[in-house]
Amino acid sequence: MKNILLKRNHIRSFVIIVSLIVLTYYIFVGIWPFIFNLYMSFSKSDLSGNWIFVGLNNYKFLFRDPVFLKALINNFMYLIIMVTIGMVSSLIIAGFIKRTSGLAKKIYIALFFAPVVTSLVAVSMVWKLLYYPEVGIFAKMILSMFPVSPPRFLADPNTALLSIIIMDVWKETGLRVIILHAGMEEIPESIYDSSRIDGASSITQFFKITIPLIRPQIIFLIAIYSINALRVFTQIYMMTTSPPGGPMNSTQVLVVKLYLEAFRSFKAGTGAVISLVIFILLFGLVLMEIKSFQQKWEY
Amino acid sequence: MKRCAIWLLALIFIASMVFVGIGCKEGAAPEEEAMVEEEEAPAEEISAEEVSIDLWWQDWPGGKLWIDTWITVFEEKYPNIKVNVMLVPFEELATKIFPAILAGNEPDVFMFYDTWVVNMDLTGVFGTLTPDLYSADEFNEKVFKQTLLYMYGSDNNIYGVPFSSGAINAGIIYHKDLMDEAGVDPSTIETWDDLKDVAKKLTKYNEDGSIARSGMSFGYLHTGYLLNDLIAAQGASDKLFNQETGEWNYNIPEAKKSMEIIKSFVDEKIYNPYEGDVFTAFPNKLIAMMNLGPWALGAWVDQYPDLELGYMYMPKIEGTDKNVHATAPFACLAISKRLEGDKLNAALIFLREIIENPAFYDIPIDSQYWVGLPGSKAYIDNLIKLAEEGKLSGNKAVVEMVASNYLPNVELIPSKLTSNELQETLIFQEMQSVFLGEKTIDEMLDYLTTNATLKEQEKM
Repeated sequence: MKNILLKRNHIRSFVIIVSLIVLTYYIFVGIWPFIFNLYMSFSKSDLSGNWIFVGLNNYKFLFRDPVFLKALINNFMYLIIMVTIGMVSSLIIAGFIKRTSGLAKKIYIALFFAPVVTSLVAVSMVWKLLYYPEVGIFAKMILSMFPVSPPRFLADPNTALLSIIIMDVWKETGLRVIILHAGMEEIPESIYDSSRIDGASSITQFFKITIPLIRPQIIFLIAIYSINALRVFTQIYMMTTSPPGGPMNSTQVLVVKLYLEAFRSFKAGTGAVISLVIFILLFGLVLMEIKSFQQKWEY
Repeated sequence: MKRCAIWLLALIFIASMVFVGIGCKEGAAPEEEAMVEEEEAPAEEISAEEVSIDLWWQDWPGGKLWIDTWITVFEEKYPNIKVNVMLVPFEELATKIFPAILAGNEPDVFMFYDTWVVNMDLTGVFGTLTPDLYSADEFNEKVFKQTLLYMYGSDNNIYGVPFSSGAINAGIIYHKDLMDEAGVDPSTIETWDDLKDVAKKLTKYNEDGSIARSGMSFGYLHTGYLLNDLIAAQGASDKLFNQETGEWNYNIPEAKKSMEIIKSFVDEKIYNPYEGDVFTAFPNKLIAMMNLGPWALGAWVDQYPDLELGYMYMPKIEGTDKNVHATAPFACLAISKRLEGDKLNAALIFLREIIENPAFYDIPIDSQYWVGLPGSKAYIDNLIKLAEEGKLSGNKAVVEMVASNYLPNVELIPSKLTSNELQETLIFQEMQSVFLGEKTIDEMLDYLTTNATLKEQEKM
């Protein structure tokens, strides 16, 4: 009995100490930077690192800045278009791959996954060249096939953001396909057999059986890629850096705006406000994700 | 066993946090040392057998060649001073320097651009150059006065040495072979109307009538500055910006005329606003001429060695006498505020040689990797003298032509906005909206008035 009590005390002490260490780490890495960021959002700094309290000035000027509002809109457009195109294309590809087997299946999965493991910076630079007006490969292909005006891609404010989204969808499709395909593989074949007996076509099976039963994977991917869409930076900055934010700010997004304000204009206070906005949007998305996972589905 | 591993990890974590704290404390100490440094007046002698200074320098092909060659020359003259160069890409230079200063680990000497520090008090940030390097009066004699505008701290000391300018919108770079092909002599271009006539002859079209090659292009990098330059050239800087109230007013006839001049190139199908990145388009001859600094003459030599490029000074607007350059960014050098003793003396000697030794500017101008206009008055005055004696040719003739027109005509608008805030992310974006037909000129000028004023007053 005495030994059991002693052991219990040891375990309790151990848990407390380890918890303290983890908490300390989290305070340094998570809580303190957040609190300091909040302070920065109400302040202005000079190059010496002195901070002057300015109240809501940073918020006032930022929310009156049309470029910030444009960045917010662009981010939401990026989210909606990228997630929609990405999920639809990945579902279709995963569905097709499920119908294959053996070596062919493995090859397809490897081919689709290859862009996922490639450096985003390298991919962005290559696609920037592919998109080049007149002399880029895409422009030449389109001009050789269709009698249209030379496509402008990144140089046209109407197509710049969509061009980057297409690149992003291409790059990340492999990961989505693998996750969705894994979900599809878990569906018992007997359900498909029963539905076939009932006269269901392949398309009906896909919409009535496959998609409902891989809903957790779909929601997970929508949540993850929505978060990625709100934090998008590298591909936007690499592909539309002249000028920053693309033609007529058509590819201006929140993180690019944060970078320009905080690191190019040395307005850390304004950058702090933008990071808070991003935090609030991401927090909302994560809450929605948690709520979705708590749902129970019955079929 | 598992518990032991966890305890060990915890100990390592705590130890690392302790050492991080020690590092931060060491960074804070030098402020006291800097105060002591200001009370002493170092006589520029190096007592040590060898002293080394660390230099951060922008990384670009011409710049690398320039600094490597210069350091060889410098170290031959001062064998007891060793210069360790770290090349930093332009984008990283902007984002590395100030965090390094705040962390207390900036290099001894570093390069930066004056437009990054507009409206910023450099006192206590960089090392003081007056009176140790030169007095304020001596500075105004040795470098062009206008270029020192952003180098003063709140204590009226000077904190940076402007040494070279890309001379934004000093003129127009062109393909010589395309000019010859079109049978055009660029020396006949004196006004913007002349420029348009020549550009028309250089423009090529696709079968569907779209532009295959722009006769004249207005690239993103410099065109945002061009609007204010054209307004200033018409003598309207005072109407454009009120320094006391921080109000910008683009709703003036001179601004409208400036935009109409540039937009006419779009309307008459000489300039294709959809051409994409001009730094790819121009060397690939998708553009025949564009507004760019004379540094571009050497910019593409490594990638496109067959390019034959020429440079002409910016033409005047009809009815005006001279071009006024309202923005003229200069590359500058500064020293760390933490320097003292031999290191401080070595850094000051390095800066003095850059201003006074003509070899520093001969290196880039004589080479194929052109880098821009020298900030040294003595050097430019000497070039002007040689030009008058008919002894100049090649790149030096171009430098003299541009410098003698450009530098005396720099009249900076005393705005507190950095180039990133005003020209790059506001003005050029709005100009594009006009070129692409999304806004009228009046709408654009109205927008600029409101938003430039908003940004300016945020900084007041």
